[in-house]
Amino acid sequence: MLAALASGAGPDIFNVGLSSMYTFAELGQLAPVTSQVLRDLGYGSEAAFKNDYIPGIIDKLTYKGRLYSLYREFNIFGLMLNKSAFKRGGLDAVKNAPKTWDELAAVAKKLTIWEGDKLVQTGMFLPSGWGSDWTFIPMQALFLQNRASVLDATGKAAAINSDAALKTFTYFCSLVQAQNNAPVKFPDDVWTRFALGDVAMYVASTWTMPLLAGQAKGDKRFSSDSFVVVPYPRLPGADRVHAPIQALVWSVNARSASVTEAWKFIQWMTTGEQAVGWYNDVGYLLPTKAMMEMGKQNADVAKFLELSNDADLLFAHPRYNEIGSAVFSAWQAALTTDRDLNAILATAAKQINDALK
Amino acid sequence: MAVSVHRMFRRPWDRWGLAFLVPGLLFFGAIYLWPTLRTIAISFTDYNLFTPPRFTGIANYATLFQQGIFLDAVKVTGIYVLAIGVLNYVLPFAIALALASGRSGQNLGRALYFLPVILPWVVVGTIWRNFYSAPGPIASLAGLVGIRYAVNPLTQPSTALAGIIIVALWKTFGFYVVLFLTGLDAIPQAYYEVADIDGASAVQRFRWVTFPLMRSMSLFIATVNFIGAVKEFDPFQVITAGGPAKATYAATLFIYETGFKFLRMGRAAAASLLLCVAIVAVTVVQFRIFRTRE
Amino acid sequence: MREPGSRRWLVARILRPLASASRAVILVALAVAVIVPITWAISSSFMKKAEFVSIPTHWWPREPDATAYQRLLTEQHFPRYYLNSIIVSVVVAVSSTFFAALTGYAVSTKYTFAGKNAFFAFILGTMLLPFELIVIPLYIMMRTFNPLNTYAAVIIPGLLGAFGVFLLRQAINDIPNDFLDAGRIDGAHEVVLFARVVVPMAMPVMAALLVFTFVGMWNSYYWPLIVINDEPKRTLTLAIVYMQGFYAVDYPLILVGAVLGSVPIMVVFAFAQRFFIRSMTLSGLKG
Repeated sequence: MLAALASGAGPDIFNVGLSSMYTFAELGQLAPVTSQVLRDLGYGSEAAFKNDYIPGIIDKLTYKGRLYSLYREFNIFGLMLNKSAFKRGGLDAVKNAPKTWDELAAVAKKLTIWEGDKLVQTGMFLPSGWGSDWTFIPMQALFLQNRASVLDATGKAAAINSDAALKTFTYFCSLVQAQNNAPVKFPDDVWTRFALGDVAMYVASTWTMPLLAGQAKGDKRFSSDSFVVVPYPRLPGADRVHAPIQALVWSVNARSASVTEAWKFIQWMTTGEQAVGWYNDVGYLLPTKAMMEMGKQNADVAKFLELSNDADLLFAHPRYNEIGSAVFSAWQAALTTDRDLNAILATAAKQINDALK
Repeated sequence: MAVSVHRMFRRPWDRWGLAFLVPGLLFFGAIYLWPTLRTIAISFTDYNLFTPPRFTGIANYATLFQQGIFLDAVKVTGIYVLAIGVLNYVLPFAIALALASGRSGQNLGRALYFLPVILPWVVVGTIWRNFYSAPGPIASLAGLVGIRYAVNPLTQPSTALAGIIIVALWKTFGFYVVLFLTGLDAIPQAYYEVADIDGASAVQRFRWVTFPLMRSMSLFIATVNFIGAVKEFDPFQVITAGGPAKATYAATLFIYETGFKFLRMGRAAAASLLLCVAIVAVTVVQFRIFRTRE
Repeated sequence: MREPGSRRWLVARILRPLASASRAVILVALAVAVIVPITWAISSSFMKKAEFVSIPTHWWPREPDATAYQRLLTEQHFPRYYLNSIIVSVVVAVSSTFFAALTGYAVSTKYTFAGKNAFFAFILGTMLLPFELIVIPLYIMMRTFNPLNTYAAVIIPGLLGAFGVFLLRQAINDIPNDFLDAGRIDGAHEVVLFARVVVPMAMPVMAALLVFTFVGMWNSYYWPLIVINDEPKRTLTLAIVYMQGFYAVDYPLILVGAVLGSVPIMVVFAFAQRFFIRSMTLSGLKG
């Protein structure tokens, strides 16, 4: 994708990760949704356009005040619970769903079951090696709930070595250490384990159920009814949950000769029949009002849409790749080494500041 | 001292030598020389592929040395190169000696050990990523002998690089075994007979006959091995993606990410130039060490 | 001389058999170390996902499942990837070998002209350059002169390699001059001499280089990664890289891709094994 754009021969429409969108917008490669485009699409104003979506969702797609893309995949993350695993531990997935982080730790402990010296079930899978990017997802929620942030308010300096961040890292590392005996072969496998009921709680998004079905294909232990989705726990005193999102977005090439047509096409793809069909096939959910209609019939969809009302990115910046890399390295270092967390975060802050120069 | 056209070619048909050389020369000039010059130029600029390059002097070089990431990457590459340079020389040599001294199994050995060499790194990387997992195949095997294999080495920063080194050795040792065997085959039997008559032990035979007569092959192997190790990219990307916590983040990975992910082409160019200089320097040293004496 | 207690006896009766036995053990152990991961990979590719994750490890699928193979071969663009890889690898292999012979002949001892050795040193020097050094300008060049994202873009940097030139130079050096001199006396044109004398005599080495280059090109993914965007244009190895996908990875599926991706090279390799290894002797690398 980078190659194509750089060569000036890029396609009219392309999709990128939301985090990359800022980079391309900064470089002037994207055609914004101007008021002219909006009029051509049949909207009187940007507000009317935003009205077709869940409130606040479209704001995440703006950069420096202009709208540059529409959602292709909108993945909101929540916590998924396996009912039979809960039952095995003597709990009920619906009634005992953890509402605070301490509850989460307690429930996870209760649901970690050993038979002799063999680990039979794990409460919550929090890998520290690979797959630690998944561990990062719930941590992101806690991070934002603690009012920590990667960049400071001006967006010009790192804030990852703040006390709140340190507190988050420390707490989460202790959670991970406590869970380090999961009976999974390697992190990518946890989906299979989760599908078969060996893991009680794990990360979930709209694409999770089709994925689990695929992983456990043919195995009798799997049933889509045994799973329930809840929001992540909330810190007492936190204003919101800050459910993490990852997204892929559609954008239009700034050099395109037919910007309006391109946007029309994108809009067609993201609303109406196509979007619904897509959800049924692979579980990609779009936060449009049309989907909300569908949600009235489908409980899962409704759940995720509910989460969408309280969603947040970790941070947004044209230099996302570099900053993200620093954050991620710090996270890996925290989980897999014994180094002092202060030092780790200080290094990350320095790297981020270097990237921002 | 002007070279006249007549003195340029010793014999009439030598012109054709030059003619035949032209396509190759053009190719190398266009694909290697010209890009190298451009990279040198880019290394003194700020360039993100989309906007025109902006001259910044030696800022890129300065930043490379100031920011820890590049130096850490160089350290990773250094350790890797040292390990591979030594191990991938000594081990194949020993194996070749072992293979050659017997009567049977040479051809089978050659073919078998060579198998990982022809597999793509993607395949080898995927296989080993899984193979290393704990619990997993190695754990089962280790359990048979009573050893406990509890942690996947690739998941811990302290052991990840070692894990990759083992895979790299697994993949490439066969190539050098074959080369060493070729070299050993070339030593005339007569020398060994003389050594036997003199009552030389195996060790002495090696030191005074085998090793000296293998000097050229040794140099070739040491050089190719070293250069290959410095340029290595695939295993780091495919097996651990530079992790965990940058433990396997080699210089080549740094260059790739800095250039194509972070869009800092100037800095990436500077880093690759430094890498190149290092390669040339060490190669020259190696040539000195292994200088053929006849 | 074989008196018990003498040094010779010690060597003959104890050390030599011991060395022999340990030699055998080590070589067999190595063979096992090479084979085990590969056979495990092949057998895993026939497993269902659920079986693949079972503990303790299943070394052999209890419920063999070839559906992944079926899926991969018929679905998506897999056959297309094969085609792409074959086209690209064959073109590069043939071109590289031909030009290596031509250039190697030019810088061999068969010709003498001013600057010949300097040119050879220059060509050799390109072997020292890490690919990263040239990748960015090369990419920009592709962008300017050639549409990116085509076969040509992938092929061009591979059309000739210094290693091949070096190899063929050594091989051609060993060709006795008489053949060439005889041809010249007969008035044969230099090009004819090249085609009728040099090439046939260097054929074993050329065949080896062909295989070597084919395999190298087949396995490469760094440059194709940078240059190819469209999914159908991907080479097989690149496709396997992309299969290490996003959210979850289906390892048996990837291993299937890996097995399928390696089959052609194994075939080519087995077929040309004689040339391959034999020619390393002929290349005069020892000299």
